Amino acid sequence: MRLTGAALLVGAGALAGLAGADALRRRAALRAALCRMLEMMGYELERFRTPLPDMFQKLSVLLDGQAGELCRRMGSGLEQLGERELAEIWTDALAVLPTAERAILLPLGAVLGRYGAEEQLRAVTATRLEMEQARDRARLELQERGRMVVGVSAAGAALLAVLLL
Amino acid sequence: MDGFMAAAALLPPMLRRSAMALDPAERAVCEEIRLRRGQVGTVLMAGREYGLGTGPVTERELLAVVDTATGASMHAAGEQLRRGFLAAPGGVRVGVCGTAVSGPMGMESLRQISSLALRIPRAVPGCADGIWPALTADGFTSTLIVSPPGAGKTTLLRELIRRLSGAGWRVAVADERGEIADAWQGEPAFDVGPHTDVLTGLGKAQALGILLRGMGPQIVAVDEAADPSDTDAILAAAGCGVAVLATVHGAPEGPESPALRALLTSGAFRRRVWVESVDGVRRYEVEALPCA
Repeated sequence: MRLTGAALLVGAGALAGLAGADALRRRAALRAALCRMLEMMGYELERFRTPLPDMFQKLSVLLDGQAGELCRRMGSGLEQLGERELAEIWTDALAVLPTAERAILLPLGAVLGRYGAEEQLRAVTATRLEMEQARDRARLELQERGRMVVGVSAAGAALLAVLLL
Repeated sequence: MDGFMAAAALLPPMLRRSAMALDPAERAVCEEIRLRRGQVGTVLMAGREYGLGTGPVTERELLAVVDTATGASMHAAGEQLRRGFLAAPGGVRVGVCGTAVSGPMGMESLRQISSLALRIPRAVPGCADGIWPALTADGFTSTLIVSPPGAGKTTLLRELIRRLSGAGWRVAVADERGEIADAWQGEPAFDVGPHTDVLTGLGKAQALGILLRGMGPQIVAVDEAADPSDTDAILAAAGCGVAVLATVHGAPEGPESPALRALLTSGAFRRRVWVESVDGVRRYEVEALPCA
């Protein structure tokens, strides 16, 4: 019985560690998706001068997960122009993202749709570069800490089990 | 949605409430809504501006109007801005002033927007009744509609297109600014008649060529000939054996614009319609032009 309890404890620790590592992996994946979104936005602006409603409609189809959801929210939010301001619609759409990613994207709301394509492109590119740095940090963290988190959690649980035994 | 409602729909909530508080009779004659940064918003009626009864217009409100008119896509409106206005839903034309941002193609965008003029489109069925017999007495021939800005050229043009089309003529419209038919997703918002083909958003020279080659019109209609390229295209169309119905800025007194002079001296037009607006009342006068 004791041994079973100890095994379960170690297993739970390992699972907690895996969950922690998975969160790191999901954060890196989200940032990578947002980088793709920003890259596509830049492409649409530069090549086609695509109007924002069409752009977000298109991106909402092409992107999955939270990045796709952000684009879907923007697409439907833009239908409320006249009642709500663009910056407000952007801020609301960003609510789908965690705080750190939201903070990187938030300033774009003051530029999108307001100026010429070149100025918007510069802002989108600057934001993409910032997001790429954040993505790289998340990937590095995942590499460095991912296995460690699982190991430490499992070891911690094992230690606890030994103490309890 | 009528023109006034379409224009009001572009306004931010507070200004919209003030505009909608106007008496229906006032709304019916309202020609423009004008917004200038730091000044009270106004409506233009019978040639005079009247305050909307709100506080000074802010930059934020001006930007909100532009966002709504462009679908928050100023960058996609570069071509419209180069022509001096934004085409908004409902046939509303938004004139914009501010600081121009130039690109390789000329003006690409505007920042520090300082004023907006929302021109309200209006169909006035029957407005051409008085001049219709004079214009069609011996069959319709090329006709030039001339007036100062804002006097009602486009309204008369639209009505003549409707009447001519209704009388069985095949009319092709080069609607460069989307103001004549206000075609939205292929269907004109204004009644331009059952035999009318509308090509929207293309410069006159290109549009007239496409219409002549592709649609086999008996009459081609264009609004506001201004540049030499416009007059060249119109005269080329007239030389193809179709009747041309065109508008151009001008006034009975004062010097003629180069475009008006070029069209009048070409001999291509057989009639001229003067349009003037006196205290909001339109007057039309048909004049026969000498043959070339």
